[in-house]
Amino acid sequence: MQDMSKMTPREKYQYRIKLYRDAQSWKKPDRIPFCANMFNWMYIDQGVSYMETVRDYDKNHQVIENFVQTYNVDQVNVMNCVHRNPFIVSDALGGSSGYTDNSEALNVLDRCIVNDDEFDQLNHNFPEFSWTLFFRRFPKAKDMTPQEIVHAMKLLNEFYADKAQTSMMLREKYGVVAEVDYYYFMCAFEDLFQLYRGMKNSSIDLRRHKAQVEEYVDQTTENYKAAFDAWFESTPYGPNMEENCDISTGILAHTVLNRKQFDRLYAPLMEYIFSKAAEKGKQVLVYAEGSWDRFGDFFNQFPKGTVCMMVEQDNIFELRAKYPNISLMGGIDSTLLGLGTPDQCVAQAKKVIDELGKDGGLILQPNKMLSFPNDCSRENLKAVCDFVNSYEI
Amino acid sequence: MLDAKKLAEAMGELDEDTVVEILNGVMEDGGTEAQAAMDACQAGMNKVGDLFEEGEYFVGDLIYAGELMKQAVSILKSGLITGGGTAMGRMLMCTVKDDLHDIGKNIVISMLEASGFEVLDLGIDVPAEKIVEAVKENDIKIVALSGVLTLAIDSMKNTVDALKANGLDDVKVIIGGAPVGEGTAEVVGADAWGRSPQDTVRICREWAA
Repeated sequence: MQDMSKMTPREKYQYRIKLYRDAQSWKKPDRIPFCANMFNWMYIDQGVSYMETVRDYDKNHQVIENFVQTYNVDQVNVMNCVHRNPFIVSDALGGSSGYTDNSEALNVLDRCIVNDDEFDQLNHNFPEFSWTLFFRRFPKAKDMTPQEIVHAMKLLNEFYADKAQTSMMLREKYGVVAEVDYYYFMCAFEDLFQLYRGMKNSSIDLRRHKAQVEEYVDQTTENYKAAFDAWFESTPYGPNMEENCDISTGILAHTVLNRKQFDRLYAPLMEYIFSKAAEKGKQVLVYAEGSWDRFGDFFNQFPKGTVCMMVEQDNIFELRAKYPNISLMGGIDSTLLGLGTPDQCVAQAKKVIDELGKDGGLILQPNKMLSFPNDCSRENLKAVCDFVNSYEI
Repeated sequence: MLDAKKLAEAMGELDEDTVVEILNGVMEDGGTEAQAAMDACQAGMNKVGDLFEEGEYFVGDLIYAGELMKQAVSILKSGLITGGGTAMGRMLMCTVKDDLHDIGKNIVISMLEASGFEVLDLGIDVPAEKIVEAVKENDIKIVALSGVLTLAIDSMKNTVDALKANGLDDVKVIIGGAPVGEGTAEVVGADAWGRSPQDTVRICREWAA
């Protein structure tokens, strides 16, 4: 096993990318890669206010640097821990559905901002829908001057620029894996679920407004396929060894769908993209919340080495037995990481690596985005990092 | 005349148009068959629970079923028998302190109500002392605690401890939600955990029998 302490940041970065790629390709990696699945806990750990820090990019960089200096993780999900919620931009528009509770953990309200009778505009005149309905639902938006709107856009650009800058800082200064340049997509039903209608209303829509939902999903899926094709045609064959995956998606809305709904509304875009990925030797990382066991056969149909799935609620050992083509990202129980002992956490990491990772197919990760005080403890996280970094497989 | 079988089937199939049409028909004479219609709706909800257990329905279907049941109660309200209590008795449910999630709780409540419980819903972010107070005031014997965040585990434990500290050892506590799994009930000191809404209904019915 290679000794990372003698490596330059660039060498560390390349080494870590290879660990990820080998794991996803089902080749025995030099050791198992470990992603912290870090979210709000990083701020709680350092005793700083999340809401204040994410509005101050310099301060935020310092928190992230403190984290990677303290914990020897292979990857930080920059999008999750920092750039999921552009509060500076939503401040300019008059508010956000995100807020922190007494424990400084971030929560997001289930909000419906498109009414039942507005599906026609959503489906038939998207530009008008965007500017006259959706955008104007932000509290300040209807009274904003053109200059103020331009200012909000500028803030959004700065936000994205900071995301890229943060990732590059992690790569270049610490050799830590942080996403920059992979293709990210979401299935069309996620738009309704996460953006326009919320969890409760989009669930009801599946039956009460079924035709409108299908119309939205069908036409949006075609648009998303075209966008993917444009990227896909210009990308070379094989994995991009500057990134830990080539394509990624986040799935959340599947947590309300039954199988028929999943097949009708959710699977087609993924099937299209995953099949093309397999043709060109690309690897897809699926950031999956909740349980996906009931759709496992769908994800298992693609050639081994194509799809890697995050495991949050399902039993990782059962998934491996049932779906042998899927590489898995998970295995550390966040309840144990928060409330157990270092020995217990290391024992769990060892068991998962020994049983699931020796021939590739495993990226070790806490099963939940670490967000709340009891999701993790310093001693336990350090113990798992030290173990993973020294455990020969 | 009410076609109870057709109504129960429509409810089970989540066929809103048919359910509403039948229920509006029931209320045309002031609702003499309202209670029978409600019983049929509850039978339909049991079918929804069965289909969930079989994997045919999932969470979105349960959310919709809860809405449909609410709509049914709203239509039948003036014709329903009042004051006679419900078959399984009264119980309490809420989302515990520091957790604001209500969708899962509402699903379970709709299933419990359809199964014959009268559920006192204390809402979300409910502190232990408020639950203890409500249990005492309403002579509750079954408490269902819901939570989605890992923070909820602590609040569930605090609630169970508070019930015991107040001498309410005979109150049965069931917990459920995303962070709850095998072993959590033991950590919290609860009597059981519900792995699904239907599982929760089954356990509560056993306790109430």
